[in-house]
Amino acid sequence: MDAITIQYLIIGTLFVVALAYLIRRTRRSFKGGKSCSKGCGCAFTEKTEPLNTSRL
Amino acid sequence: MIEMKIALVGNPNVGKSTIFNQLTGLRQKAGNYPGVTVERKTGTFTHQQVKYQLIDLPGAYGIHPSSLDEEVVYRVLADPQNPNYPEKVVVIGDPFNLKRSVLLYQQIREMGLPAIFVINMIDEAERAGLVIDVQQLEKVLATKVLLTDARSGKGIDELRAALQHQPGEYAAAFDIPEEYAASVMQTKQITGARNNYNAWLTLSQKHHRYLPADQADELATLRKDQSINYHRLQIQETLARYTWLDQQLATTVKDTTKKRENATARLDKLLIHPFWGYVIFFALLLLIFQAIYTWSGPFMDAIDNGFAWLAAATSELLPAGPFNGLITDGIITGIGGIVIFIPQIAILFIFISLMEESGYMSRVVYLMDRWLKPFGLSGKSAVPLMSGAACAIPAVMSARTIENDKERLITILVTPFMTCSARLPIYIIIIGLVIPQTKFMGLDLQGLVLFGMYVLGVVAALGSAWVLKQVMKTSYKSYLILEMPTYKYPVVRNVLYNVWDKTMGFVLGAGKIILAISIILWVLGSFGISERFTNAEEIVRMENPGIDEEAFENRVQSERLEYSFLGSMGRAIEPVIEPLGYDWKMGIGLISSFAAREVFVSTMATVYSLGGTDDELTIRERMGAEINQNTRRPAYNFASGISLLLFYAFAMQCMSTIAIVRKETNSWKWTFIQLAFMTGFAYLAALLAYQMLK
Repeated sequence: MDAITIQYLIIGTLFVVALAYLIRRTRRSFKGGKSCSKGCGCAFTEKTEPLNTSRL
Repeated sequence: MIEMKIALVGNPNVGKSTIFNQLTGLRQKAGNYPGVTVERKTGTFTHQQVKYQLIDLPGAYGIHPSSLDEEVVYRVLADPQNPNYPEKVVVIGDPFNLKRSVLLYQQIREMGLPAIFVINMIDEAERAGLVIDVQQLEKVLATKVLLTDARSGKGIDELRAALQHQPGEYAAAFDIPEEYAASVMQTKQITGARNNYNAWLTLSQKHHRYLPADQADELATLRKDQSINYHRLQIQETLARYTWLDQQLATTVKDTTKKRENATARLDKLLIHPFWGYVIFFALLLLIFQAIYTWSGPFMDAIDNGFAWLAAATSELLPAGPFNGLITDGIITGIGGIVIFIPQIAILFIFISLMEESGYMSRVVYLMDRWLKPFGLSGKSAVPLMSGAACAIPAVMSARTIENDKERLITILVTPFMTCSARLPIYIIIIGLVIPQTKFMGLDLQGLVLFGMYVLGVVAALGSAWVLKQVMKTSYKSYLILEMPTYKYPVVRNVLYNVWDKTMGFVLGAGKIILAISIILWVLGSFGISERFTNAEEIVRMENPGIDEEAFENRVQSERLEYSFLGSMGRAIEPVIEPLGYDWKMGIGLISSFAAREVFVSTMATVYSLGGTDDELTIRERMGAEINQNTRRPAYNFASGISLLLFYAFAMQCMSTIAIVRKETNSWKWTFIQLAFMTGFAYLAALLAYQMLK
């Protein structure tokens, strides 16, 4: 394998990892794990008491 | 190793989170204003071969919950099956409101939980002339009483050692009134409560959401049959306890001087004055935004130039090839697009931390309260709205303190309009590009426009709340009962910790997203399958005969980018954004910043870097030199710049906020309504601005 092919392989791997990271992060946000990883002061979030919007 | 669960309980703003941080070594957010903690937080530490799990509970005035954060306290302490049910409780008291803290302590002891009592802020109390007879108090409370000053760490070692203390026998201070004795016994049978007082507490709760449906129904029937008004029961208990406490604590606390009240009261005369209070608040905001521009300028230039140099040097150092391009045009440029904003973010959080630590933030909440009611928001909405100036996510969560569901929902829906720190990078860079660097009435014009953007966020939040008030027809009026903390000198260490945490959180949190997006953008912008991409050199040479070598290289790069995967995606959405004054490259920025607003600038840096050959240009130089291919004018001119500012002021460009709104409202319907309303409003405002100003 020449140097360029190796470089493309590394780039391809990084691309897949980056895409997987963004998808996983989005899914986690909505599924309930850590709701926020932006350093917004809510890293300890464990459980949310839901609002009963059906009554509104 | 022995393990032990300890719960920290106390009235709001007595320093629970500061004690939690001191004991665990964690850096839980703490602030000198009520409502900072709205959910339970846990941390662990080991002392003398015992592993303690410390649970920091939200502030509560009593065990009768009226809002969700108070309900968290009740649920943890009342239910032995709760996984966080503690083996011991540390009740933290305020020396200036000792009776209220002791009332909470009594309720916890009578629930059957062992507890020790801590009087925090003791230094301040002593300075103010309060003398507390600790031995006498220990006799009254039948437990160990400790004195701490959590901000300085005084008394924390003694508190650690006292966690093993076994409190003495406790005699109930409250006798259940005779007329309710039968109902209490029935409640005990229905719920299986551990003792009569727990049954009394259940009987006197407003909601029984935590009970199985059949038990809740039986209790409702019992209350109806016996004509029991839960509120009357709570009042009876509180009055009986205060009568007892007045007698027992009469000689425990001696107030020898009023110096403390005088100092705080004197300041409050000015800072919450109906006229001067607002003048001072607005002057402070002006100072903050002037400072953000003036103080951060040299640091921003240095970082911008540093990254431009790093990209050029790395490009020279690495062998030519695609990996070189990914590192220099993708990753370094992208990361530079967030690091450049560290000075502004740090300055913003220095001011926010100083306001929180000193106690001024409570006054701001008080000042805001008067303006919220006409717009359908409760006074309690002031805390979420003010928190929204830092980040919408904890702000949306702090709406849990609002007991009325409609008011809580309106607050959640409008809070993302407040200008969060993620909008700051976009405002800074766009204002820097389209607003001249001149003075207006002696003030920096760019700083004034930035101030205007923050005011716009408040106006949008209040206006939307008013609309929602009309739609949802809310007539309930809840009131903010806010205990003003005393003014305190900010502890430099706490301020620095807070600024460090926030700034690093911003950079690292956003940095991970930006790193991932930079890689994806670079790959999508460097590859393509169309003929104009693969044969870019021939096509450019054929269409531009006689072009010089440097211009040829630039045209080829530009052609490749335009017909890459990224360019194809951008051109597909261009018809939608063209009326706003944006070209397809800016459209890519709008899409990527849906993950987080702050991603916009680094996206633009990467996209412009891919389309050019000069590695030494700074981010601002690249953006300033960019030409909109549709209008042939600078991409960031006055009209498109104002349009972009308005779009980001109103649009819901934050995945994390959408997620937290979904969680807190437990409704996809309201989440989509909010997303559609904010995006639609942003589009309309940006469209009008561009069409009028172009």
